Amino acid sequence: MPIEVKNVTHTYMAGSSISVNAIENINITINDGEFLGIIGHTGSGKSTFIQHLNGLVQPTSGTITVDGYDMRDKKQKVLGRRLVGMVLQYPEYQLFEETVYKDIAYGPKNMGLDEKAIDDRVREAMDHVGLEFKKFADKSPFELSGGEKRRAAIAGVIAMRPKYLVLDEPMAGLDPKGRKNILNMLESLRQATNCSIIMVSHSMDDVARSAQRIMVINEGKIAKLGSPEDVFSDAEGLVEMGLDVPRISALAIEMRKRGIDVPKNIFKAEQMLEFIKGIKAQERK
Amino acid sequence: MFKDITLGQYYPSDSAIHKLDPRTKILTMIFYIVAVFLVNRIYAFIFPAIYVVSVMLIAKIPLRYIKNSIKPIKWIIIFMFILNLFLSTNVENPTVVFEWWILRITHESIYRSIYITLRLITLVAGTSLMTLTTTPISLTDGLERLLAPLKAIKFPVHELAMMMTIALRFIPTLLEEVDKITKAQLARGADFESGSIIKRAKSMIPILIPLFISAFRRADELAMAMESRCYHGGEGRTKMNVLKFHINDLYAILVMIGMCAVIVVIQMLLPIL
Ligand SMILES: Nc1ncnc2c1ncn2[C@@H]1O[C@H](COP(=O)(O)OP(=O)(O)OP(=O)(O)O)[C@@H](O)[C@H]1O
Ligand SMILES: [Mg+2]
Repeated sequence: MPIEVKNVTHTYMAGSSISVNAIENINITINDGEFLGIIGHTGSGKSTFIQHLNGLVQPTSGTITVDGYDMRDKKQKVLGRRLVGMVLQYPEYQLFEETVYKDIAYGPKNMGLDEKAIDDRVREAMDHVGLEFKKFADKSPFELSGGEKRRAAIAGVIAMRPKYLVLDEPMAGLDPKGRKNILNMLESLRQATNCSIIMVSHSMDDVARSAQRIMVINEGKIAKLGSPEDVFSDAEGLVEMGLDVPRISALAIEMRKRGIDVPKNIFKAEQMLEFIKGIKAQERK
Repeated sequence: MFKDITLGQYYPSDSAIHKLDPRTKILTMIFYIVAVFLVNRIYAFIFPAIYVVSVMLIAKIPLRYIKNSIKPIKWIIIFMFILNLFLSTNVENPTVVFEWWILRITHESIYRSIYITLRLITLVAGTSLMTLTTTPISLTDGLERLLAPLKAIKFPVHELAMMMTIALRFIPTLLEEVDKITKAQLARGADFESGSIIKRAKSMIPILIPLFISAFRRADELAMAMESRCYHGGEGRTKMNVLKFHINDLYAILVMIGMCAVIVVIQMLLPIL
């Protein structure tokens, strides 16, 4: 069963003179096992939207159901929340325990699991995020490097084995290698556990590489929703919204400006390589 | 859950009152408190009341802000009112209005309850004028200048003001942080609402530890940033906006002193109620 979001609007400080319509009339169905990328520029409402998915923020109007649980209902929310793992922006702030092991065990413990099950999940989660158990389990989370902290925090959510894993800019502030690690980790996690991944990102290249479906939010509304091919085929439109485009799309825009007719559906390096090879082959003839 | 806390509810507006020197505002507030304590007849509360309303009008602040400033202490006022109703007065043969078991309400105690309530309300409404019309920053600036003479006895005036400024600046940041950490732990299945008091207190640990850590980290970073910009305390430091008294400041102080005098004189001439 999917997550269904119907006509969701959220207004911060509703009723006051400084009320902000953070998101407006959002409709989307998030399917089992899919990788959904969410993009949009600063303040467009991405964080607000994803916090609705596990009831951290309640809609001002509209409904959200997670596998049939109504997230506006206090009792159903608790059940729905177990299905949706949420990794907020800069999740390393959530670390608080004495050891990495205990911190990752916090979520499973809150779920009421027994000792043995918790241990299994902690090991599994650390394995997924690439933190070696022997080396890190007994370390204090505050001794880790930034990237390791990030991975420990994500492991704390993965350990709850969510059916939907929501991440708010999980790669923000990491170096290219750290970004790649996290992205690969998410992809292999999805294949191993068949969970859905909903990821907010500022990096078009990362989204273009991993997402099966992309949702573009602009000023609180869904501006585009579709496959990466659909969304990036209108690279010029994204630029108009003040968004970045994948580096290859940017290159394609420049090439079009210089009279080379690059097809609209090219946004990955391999595709561009093929295309350029094709041109070269034609020239040789 | 922490969203409703508003601190130093500054109301931005472009008025003569807003432009007064913060030192004047602190001084007039002290005079105002004196004036309210000088009142010993209920009718004389009309003077502080007129004062508050006129200042609000000149400052172009909607009058409902008086109500807002009293709201947080609503329960204290109600508690004081009821308590004073039943406390005995030290008047001889009081007029009993109501008596049951050890509870007794007299004419005098009703009078005193009303008197205390009015005193509380005028005090809070009047002092909130200062926070409504002055930014916290200029308030600490004014305080620093007023306390400057204490430097002679090695009292760390500048450091105190700087600490106040920084604390005020970081209150909203910390509240935001609490909100963020709470959400992160809620998402990991934390439960802050059920169970015994001890369990609930324990459930705050996952919020408090990250909060303290980030507060210390912030403090450290701020100290570093200040030092790298050559901050070395108040010595030889000049101000970007130097405080200056204007003619309006004189008027404000005169009005305040005038009001104290009027209250004293009128109560002597009219010792009714
Ligand atoms: N707690 C809040 N109170 C009031 N307004 C808020 C709050 N949180 C967000 N907003 C406002 O709602 C709008 C959307 O914010 P949101 O955090 O969802 O944006 P975002 O797309 O996640 O941005 P970013 O990419 O910078 O993280 C912004 O205009 C923001 O100012
Ligand atoms: Mg955000």
